[in-house]
Amino acid sequence: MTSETLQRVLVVDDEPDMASGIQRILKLQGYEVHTANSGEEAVLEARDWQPDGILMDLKMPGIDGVEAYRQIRPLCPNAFVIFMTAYSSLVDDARGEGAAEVLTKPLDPEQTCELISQSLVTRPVLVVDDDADFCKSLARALKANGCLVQTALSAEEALDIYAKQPRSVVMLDMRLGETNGFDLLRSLKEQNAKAIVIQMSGYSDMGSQMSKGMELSATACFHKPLDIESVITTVKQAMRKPK
Amino acid sequence: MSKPKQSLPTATADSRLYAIWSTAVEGIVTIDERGKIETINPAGESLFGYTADELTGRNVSTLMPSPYHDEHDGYLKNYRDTGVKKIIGIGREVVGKRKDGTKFPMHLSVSEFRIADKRMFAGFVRDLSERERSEEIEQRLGRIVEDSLNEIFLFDAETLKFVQANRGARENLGYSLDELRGMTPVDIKPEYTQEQFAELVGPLVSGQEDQLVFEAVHRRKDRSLYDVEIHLQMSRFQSKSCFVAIILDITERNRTKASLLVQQRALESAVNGILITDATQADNPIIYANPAMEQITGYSAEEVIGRNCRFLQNDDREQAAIDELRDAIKNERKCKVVLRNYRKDGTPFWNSLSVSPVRSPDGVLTNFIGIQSDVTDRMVAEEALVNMNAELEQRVEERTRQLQDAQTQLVRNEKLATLGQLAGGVAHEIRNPLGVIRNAVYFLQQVQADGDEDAAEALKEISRGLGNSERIVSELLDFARAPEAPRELSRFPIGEAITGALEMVSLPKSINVARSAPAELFINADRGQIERLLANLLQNAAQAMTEGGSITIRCQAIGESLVTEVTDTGKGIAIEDLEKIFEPLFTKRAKGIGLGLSLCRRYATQNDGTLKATSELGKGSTFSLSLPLANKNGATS
Repeated sequence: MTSETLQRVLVVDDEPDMASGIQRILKLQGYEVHTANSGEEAVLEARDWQPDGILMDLKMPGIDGVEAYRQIRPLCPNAFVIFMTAYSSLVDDARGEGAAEVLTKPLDPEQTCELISQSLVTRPVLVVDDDADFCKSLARALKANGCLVQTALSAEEALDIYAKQPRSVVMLDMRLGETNGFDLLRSLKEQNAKAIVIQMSGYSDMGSQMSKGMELSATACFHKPLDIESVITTVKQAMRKPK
Repeated sequence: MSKPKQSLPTATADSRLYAIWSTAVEGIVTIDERGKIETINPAGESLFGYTADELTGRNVSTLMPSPYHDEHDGYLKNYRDTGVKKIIGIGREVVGKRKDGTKFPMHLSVSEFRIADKRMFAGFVRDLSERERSEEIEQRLGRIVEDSLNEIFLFDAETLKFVQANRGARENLGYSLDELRGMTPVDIKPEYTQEQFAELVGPLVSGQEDQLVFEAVHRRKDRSLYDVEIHLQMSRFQSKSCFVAIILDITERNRTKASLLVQQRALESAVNGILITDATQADNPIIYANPAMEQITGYSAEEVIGRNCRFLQNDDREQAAIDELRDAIKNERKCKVVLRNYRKDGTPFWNSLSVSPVRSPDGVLTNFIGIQSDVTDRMVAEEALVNMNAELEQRVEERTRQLQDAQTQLVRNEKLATLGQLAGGVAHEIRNPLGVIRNAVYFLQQVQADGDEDAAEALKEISRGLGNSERIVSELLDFARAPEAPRELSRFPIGEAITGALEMVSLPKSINVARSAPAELFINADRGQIERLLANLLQNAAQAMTEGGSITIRCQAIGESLVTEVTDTGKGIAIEDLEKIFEPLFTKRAKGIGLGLSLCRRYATQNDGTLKATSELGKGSTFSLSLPLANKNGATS
C-alpha cells in the first residue's frame, strides 16, 4: 500500500458526544475522520467525501443506520460499513445488509480500532463460476488464508450478492456456462466503477476476451488450472488497492 | 163370758163331712149374719195364722185389712137389707190379713145357709199368693223381654209364624205385632227360602242341637238390610213347641270387624317393619311382627315373638340413640331414633325406629308399637355427603391457599417483571453515557501516556469505575432479558466452558484454582449462558474469600447427568439463606445487586438442568450445577 493520503472514516451517531469521542480516538490512529449525526447527514457526507469506511449507529431518529447504508452503498460502493448498536434485536438485519461487522455498544475502543484497520485492508471475495466443485475448492483455499468468501454459480446470483457487497473482490470465470463472463464484468463495473475483478479462464483462446476485460480495468487474469499461491497474493494485493 | 165352742160336725154321719171339712185345702170360715166367726177349719187356721179358739166369736173383719175391714159390716148390712148378692154365691178376689198383720191375696167365695132358723154364711178362702207371685214373675219377664234392646221373637214350631216379637224387634223391623203374626222368619231373611230355613232349624227340631247360633241378613219393612247374629232355641210349653230367637244387630260389629280387617291387612302389607309389644308383661315382649320386619331384619315373626326388641342391637349397645329409646320407653312416651341394628345374618343396617305407646281407654299403658325403616342407604349417602363436604371444604381451602400463593407469586412476578423492564430500560439508557465516558477515558489514557502519574492513576480509577458500572448494567440487562433470551444450542465439552468462564473473571493471586474435568464430558446447551453461569459462580467464590483461599472445580458424570461442582473455602452461607440466595435482589455483599444467582439458576433450568448450593459456615460452600449429559454421538441422553 502506497497511500500517502489518510484513510477516511465516517462516524455516524445521533449522540454527538459519542461521535466526537470515537472520532478523537480514531484520529489518534491516523485516520481522517468526519462525523454525521443522522442517517440523512451520513448519506450526504458519504456521497461528497467518499469515505473508505463507515462506522454507523443503527438506531437513529429519522432513517436508521441500515436504510442510510442502503442509500450510501450505490454512492460509495467501496466503503465498508461497521454498525454499532446497543440493541441486539437489530443485529441480524444489519448483518443481512452486508455489514463487515456489527459491534455492540458500549464499544471497546481498542477492539473498534482493530476492526477498522482490518476492514480497511480486507474485502470479501466473491467467486463466480458455474463449476460448483471449482467454486468450493477455490473458496476453501481462500478461506484458509483468512478470506471471507462467497460463491455464485450464475450471473444472476453473482449480481445479487454483489449488490449487497460491492466492495467484494470478484473472481470471475469468463465462460459462465451459456453467458459471457465479459457481460457480467460490464454489469459489475456499472454498479461499482472501482469494482475489483480478477478474471479466470480455462480456455487459452479467451485471450481476446481477457484483453478486453483488462481494458475495462479488470485487475488480473488467471488461467486455469490456477496457481493458488499467486492467486492468493493477487487477491490480497487487490484488497489493498487504493481508490 | 165363756168362749163359745165351735159346734163342729160330729162323727159318724157327719164324719165324712168332717173329714172333708178338716182336710180341705181351702180355708172354710162360717159366720153369722152379724159377721161373728162360728167355725174355722184347720186350713183356715194355718192360712190366717190363728187357732180356732182365737177366732171363734170374733168378727170376721179381723181377717180383713182395711178398707175391707171397715166396710165388711156395711156389706153384710147391705145384704141383710137389700138381699142383693154382691159376693154371695159368687167368688171374688180380695185381700186377707193374717194374725201377724201381713196381707195376702185370696179368692173368697161365700155361700148362705140356715141352721135352726139362723142365717149363716160360709166363706171359702183360697190363698192366691203363689199364683200372684208367679204372675208377678211372668209379668216381669214379659216386661224384660219386651224392653230388651235385643230383638226377641217367638215363632210357632210348625207354622213358623211369629207368635211374639218384642219392642226392639218391632221397632227395628218396622212391622207391627199384627203384621208380624202373619209373617215367618223367612219373610225377613232375604237369603233364605222356606226349604233352606227348614233345613237350618232341623237340628233344633230333632233335638240334635240345643241352640243354633248363626249370622244372617234381615230386611226391614223399608227394604233396608242389616246384619244380625241369631241365637235360636226351641221351647216347649204346655205341649206346644215354639222357637225362641234372640237377635243381635251386628251391623256395627261387622263394620268394626271389617275395618279391623283392613287395618290388619295394612299392617301385613306395610313396607315398614311393624312390631307390637305387650307392655304389661315383664321386659316388654314382642307379640306381633309384620312380614316387612322379616324382610328388613331377616328374622321371621315366629323367631321374634316373645323376645324383647333389643336382640336387634346385638352387642352394639354404645349408641346414644339407645339411651334415648330406653328413656322414652321408661317414661311411656313416643320417640324417633336412628339405630345401628343387625340382621339375622349379622350384617349391620341403620334402623329408623319410631316408637309410640298404646293405652287402654282409661289411660293405662298396654303396648308399644314400633315402626322400623331401613335407612342404611340414606345414612351412607348422608355420610358420603358429609365426607364429600369435608373433602370439598378441604379442597377449597387448599385451592384457596394455592390461589393465594399463586396470586402472591403473580404480584411478585409482576413487580419483578416491571422492575425488570424498568431496570432494562434504565440499563439501556445508561449504556450510552457510559460509552461516551469510556471513549473519552481511553483517549485521555492514550494521550497521557507519558504524563502525570497521578493523572494516569485517576484515569485508571475512572476506567475501573466504568468497568463496574458496565458489569452491573450487564447483569441487569441479562436479568431483564432472560425470559425471552433465545438459546443458541451447541454441543461442547464442559471443560471448554470452564476455561471460558475462567477467562471472563479476573481472580486475585491469593486465590488458588484447581480443576478436574474428564475431557470427554459433553453437554448440549447455550454455551454463552453456561459460561456466564460458571463465571458468576467463580466470581461469587472469589468474593467469599477476601483473605484468599482455593476454588475447586470438579466435573463428573452421574447417571445421565453431568455434575459440575464449584467449591470454595470461604466464609460459607447460613442454612436459612441457602435457598434465599437464589432469589432475585438477595445479597449479603456490599457490591453487586444480587441478581447473579437467580440468573444462574434461570440459565440452569433453561438448559434443562439444576443449580443447588450446600455450605458450612466458616468452612466453605459448594455450588452444584447438573446438566443433561450429551452422548458422544451428539444426542442428549
